[in-house]
Parts: sequence; structure tokens; C-alpha cells
Amino acid sequence: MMGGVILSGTGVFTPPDVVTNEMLVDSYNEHTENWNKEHAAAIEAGELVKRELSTTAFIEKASGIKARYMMEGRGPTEPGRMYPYLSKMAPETNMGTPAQVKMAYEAAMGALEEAGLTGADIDMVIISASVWERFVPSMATELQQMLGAKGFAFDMSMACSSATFGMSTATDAIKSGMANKALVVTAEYLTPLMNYEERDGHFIFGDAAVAMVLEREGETASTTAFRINSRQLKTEFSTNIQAGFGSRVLIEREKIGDPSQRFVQHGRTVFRELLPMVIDLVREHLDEIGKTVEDFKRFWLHQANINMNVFATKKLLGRDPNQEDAPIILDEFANTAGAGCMLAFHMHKADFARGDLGMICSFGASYSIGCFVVERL
Amino acid sequence: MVDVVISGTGLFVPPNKITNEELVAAFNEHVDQYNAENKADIDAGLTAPKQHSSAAFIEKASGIKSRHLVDVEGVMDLNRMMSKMPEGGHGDTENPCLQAHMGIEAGKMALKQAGLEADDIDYLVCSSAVMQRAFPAIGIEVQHHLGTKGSALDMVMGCSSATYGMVTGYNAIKAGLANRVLMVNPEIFSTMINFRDRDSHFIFGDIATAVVLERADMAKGNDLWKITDTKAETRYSNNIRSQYGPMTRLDDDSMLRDDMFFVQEGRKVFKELLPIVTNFITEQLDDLNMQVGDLSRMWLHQANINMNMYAAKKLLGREPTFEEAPTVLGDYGNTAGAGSVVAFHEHRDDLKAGEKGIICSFGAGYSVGSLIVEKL
Repeated sequence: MMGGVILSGTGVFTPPDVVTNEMLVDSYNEHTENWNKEHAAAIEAGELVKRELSTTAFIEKASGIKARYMMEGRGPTEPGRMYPYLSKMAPETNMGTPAQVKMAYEAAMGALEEAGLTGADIDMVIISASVWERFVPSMATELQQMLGAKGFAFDMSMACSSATFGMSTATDAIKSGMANKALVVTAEYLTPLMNYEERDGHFIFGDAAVAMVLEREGETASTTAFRINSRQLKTEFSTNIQAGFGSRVLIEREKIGDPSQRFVQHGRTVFRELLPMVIDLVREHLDEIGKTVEDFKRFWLHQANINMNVFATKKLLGRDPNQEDAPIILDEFANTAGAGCMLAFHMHKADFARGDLGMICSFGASYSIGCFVVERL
Repeated sequence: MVDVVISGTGLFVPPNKITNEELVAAFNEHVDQYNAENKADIDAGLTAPKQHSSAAFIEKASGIKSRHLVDVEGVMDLNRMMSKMPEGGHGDTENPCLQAHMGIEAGKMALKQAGLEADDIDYLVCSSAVMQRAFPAIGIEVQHHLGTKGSALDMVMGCSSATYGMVTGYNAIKAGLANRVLMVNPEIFSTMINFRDRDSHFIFGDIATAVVLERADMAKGNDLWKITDTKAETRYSNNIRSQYGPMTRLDDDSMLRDDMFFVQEGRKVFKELLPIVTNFITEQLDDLNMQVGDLSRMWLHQANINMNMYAAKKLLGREPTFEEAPTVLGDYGNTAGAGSVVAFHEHRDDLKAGEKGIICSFGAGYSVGSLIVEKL
């Protein structure tokens, strides 16, 4: 009818502060030793459990992560505080632009440049991210104004599938004719949700933003575009990955500092429950479009942790994957929630030639899976 | 491309109702307490005394007589005057959280009206001005408890949440991603309000709406409305704003500061937004070669009575009748994204086949969103 929808440009924003495993472990261990000392009596009496120290070797083995970027890295590595300060990009006044919108803007500029467009060419703007820095007015509307974009804008959220679900929503709008050129930005600023006093979770996340321009095939100036050949989404409710933070902290203010309001995950259960769903969905989708894994040059997967990624690709490919088959960016960026698979796509797409096929697949909290088959034009 | 119809709508109204009189009694008691506590400063001219309010002032300013709230106890508690989490509000593995519960109940009603079972639905959009938590998505919790198939997602768009949610569902059906969509719109905006603020404590009510959208050739219901056009526009403005979010914790002094709650510059909104809305609708009708006279009804965003009457009058060129632009503000207050769909839900039964109307939201963002519908 109107030709396919294509991904004509991507862009990335990398936050200013690099925090290595060493930095995190040093502060975590100092903070934890102080905590154990302070609570020695209660620990002795069996009322509290002594907290365990951590090591960089444990983190790297558990996750494949060596460092991460943060919008503000001093707070989480300051014993006694252990949560971020406001970022330098935070709004100076209450009416200022949220840091998340500024992150989105930087990533958007890169994506527009690759697509050969300016903000004024865009007529739909979506910020799709795991958390919203502000609800009203919508952050995407502010980004729309900063870019000089037309049309309409809104925010959406789908945790680790925020980028893929955002692209799917934009694809629908282009196909239905409501939009011509859409900008989707997954600006992930998740570190404020983390509990940096928690050994199993404090190392997982990094901040980053990735932007995607979508438009119609035949209407693009991009020379590096990928067509979206097919897509499939799936969700199934699970509380094994949670972040309680939302408007409910307004009605339970006394709990604002409470660890229950931070990110909480049951990693082993997620591994056991979610991965089979991902494998099944990908196989089902391949059957539906009459392709096999051998038809694909690359799988850009959600970047959760190295063990999940390797397990999934090994299962799909039937052999040990390499960095070509399924690139890993966890070592540098850590888990960037919804941004992971598109960060991997952005960083590892340049060697594609016309006709090469690849698969983008997000999976994670909620649970959600978003799978896109793309072909280099 | 396939045609898309609305085949069912549903409503969930929280049980706690509170009238202007009750709200004002608590507010005035707070004012007296505040003025007594700050008497020395007030007498010295260092602090302005707070002013009493009255039910008459509220009704004149807004057309609102009462509203339903997810929590009344915390709002009426002089030491708190903000919502308090109702028992079981977080939900657990068996029971949905507060916001999901509202969406589920409205969704059930909409499905019933459409003559569908939950498993006929293959895409669920949960859209609201504010979300109770970040993840798992509220929409997926609704999907889980209702038993809808496929996928679900959360989106937010201030006062246009329901219309933008419907448009997102409409696009998914047009694009072939989905056949049948359930849009749920559980609004809990009272939780963002400072009930010690005279200008905003009366505005919002909580409610959930739900709408079933499906491919026209698959629809089985007996009250079908074809969506003949959709349009959306946003223009950034700080005149309706709410600060709270996950970064609140990082700013150590911000937690209970008055400017962190919902704030609005009502007069500016009136002056800036209404021309955008009337131009938007006029343009949409022009593009379709339609006149405003071709519309039997305008289901408008329910902000306040003066805005609604002004917009309808401007479009019609005369005073609207209640039937032409029904208001539901009296009972429910401003229900954020839900207003225009509440009006559509309650005031459409008398229209005949072939009659057309417009569902149009406008508000924070700024945002305007509309669907032109025709009774089949």
C-alpha cells in the first residue's frame, strides 16, 4: 500500500560519569563495613543479618559488566549516601527542562543527522522509557518543541522493551497515515531507582539514551536505512522485576527512602521463566515469516547480563555465539533497560550490506518481548 | 485499509464521593488553623493570611459539585491533606494494584458492551495522566487479570491520555498489528494534588474509562461507532505542570514543597489553549469537507464549565445546548484524560445511525486529540 516503514537513523547519548566496578565495590564495601559495625549488636542478637562484602570478580562473572555511564556517579559511590545527587543536567529551576529530555535531545540530534532530516521534518515524537522524570506536561512534548518538530508527541513506557514497543507504536502511526516521520527516543535514567546498598542489584544499571527515526521507504534521504520487514510483541505479567517508584510515593511519602521503593529483581526466576518465552517467540516468528536463524547476519539482543544473552543466542543458534552474531555492549554500558538492544544496533550496524537481515529483540521486565526483523536497504 | 469501530465503552467510579461542601469544610478548618499558627507573622505583615473558600466559588469557577476520589481519608485529615494509600493499594500476586483494579473494572464493562470475551482482545493500551509505579507496566497487570492476549503497554499524555490511547489502538489495527484493542484509562490524578491549595484542591476527580476498538468486519456488538478520522497535536507549555517523579528523591529539600504538586496558570491556559483547540477542530472539519453543523454532538474534555462552554460556543457561533456538548463535570470533576470519554459513555444512546460526533480532548502538554465517529 504505502511501502514499508524504515529505520533511517539512530543516535546515542552517553552520560558524563563513568563508574567502574572498582569504584562501586570500594564504596559498597566501605559503606557495608560501617553498616555492619553500626548494627553489630543487632546482628549479634540475630535481629539483623550481617551484610556481605562484594568483589569486582563477582560482578563481572554475574553480569559481564565492567563499567557503566551514569548521569551522576558521585552519590552512588559515596559511603553514607549511596544514591545519586542531581545531575549537572538537572533543571535549574522547577520549571526547567528535565535531564531526561536533555538526554533525549542529544540522542535525537544524532539520529536526525543520520536520517538527513531536521527536527522540522518530524511529525510524531515519542519518549519511551522505563521511568518518567515528569508526568505533566509530557516530556516528549517538550522535546518536540526543542527540536521544532510538528504534529504530536507523547510518552510511553515498557521497561526493558521501551525502545522496541516505541518503534512499534510509531510504525503503526506511519502505516495508518497519522504520521509521516517519527522520532522515538528511549532515554533511560534509571540509576536514581537503584538501591546502591544492595549487593545483588547495585551494579546492574547504567544510564544512556538512544534515538530512532522512522519513516516510509521511498521517502528517505538516508543511505544507511533498514526496512522493518516484520515484528512481534508479547507481554505476560510478572512481579519478578519491579520498581515501585511512581505516583504512589506521593501518597506514601514516609516510604520515599525505603528500599522497597527501589528496583527489585528475582534474577534466577526471571532467567528460568523469561528465556524460554523469548526463544519460543523468536522461533514462532521465524516460522511465520519462513526464515531460519541462518538467514540472519546478526542478533541485537536486549543487554541484560552476559549469561542471559549467551544462553539465548546459544539456544537459538545451536552453537556458541561470537561478537559478530550477537554483539555485547554490557561491559561498557551495563544494562541500560529499554535502550540496550538499540544501543547494540547503533554500534554494530555499519558493516551491513544491502539485503543483509538482522533481528532486534528486547526482553525483560513486566515481562515484555519485542522482536523486529530488519533488512539493510 | 480496514475500518475501525468503537464497539464498547466502560466506566469505573471509585466509591468515595466528596462534595464541595465537605471539601470546603476541611479546607476552611485548615485555613483557620494556619492563620492562628502564623498569627504573629500575619499581624506583622510578614505572611499573608490564607483565604477561606466556599462551595459557591468552586461551582462558579468550575461547574463542579462533587467528585469521586481513590482516597478521602487522607485528603480530609487536617494533618495530611493529601491522598493516603488505600488498603491493598499496592496489590500482590493475586490482587491487582489500585490503578490496575480501576482499569480492569472499566475494561470488563466495555468488553460486555462489545459482546466480547477478554481473550478476543490482542492488544491492550493503558493510558493515564500518571502511573502508580514504573514497572511492571500497569497495562500488563490489567492484561493478566482480564486474560487478554498479545501484548500491552503503558503511555501517558496528561488530559489527552484516553484519546491518545484510542489513537494508538486505532493505528495498531489499521497497521495490522492488532485486530481488537482494549484501551483502559485509569485516572488517579487526585494523588498529585495539594489539598491545602485553594485554587486547585477542588479540580480533580478519579475515574477509569475503557474503550474497545476493533476491525469493523469483526465487530459483533450492537452499538458500533465507526472512527472516520483521527487527529492529534501537541505544543509544549509549562502552564499545567506537576513536578513529582523518580528524581524527586535526589533533590533533598523538594519532598513536600508546595511547588512540587500540580500547579496551573488557569487564565493563561484559557487564553492560549482554547484558540489552539478551536483552530484544530475547524481544520479537521475543513480537511474532511465537513461543517460543524454535521456534528450532532461534541464530547469535549471536561476541564471546567467555562472552558467547555467557550469552546463549544466558538465552534457553533452560538450558545450550545446541553445535548450538543454535554458536561459531566458536576458529578465527577475534572478527571484528567478521562473526561471526553466519560461524556461519550454517558451521552450517546439517543444518536441514530448516520449521526456523527467528535470526541475531543485538550489540556496539559498542551495536547489536543480528536476522533470523529459515526453511529453505524
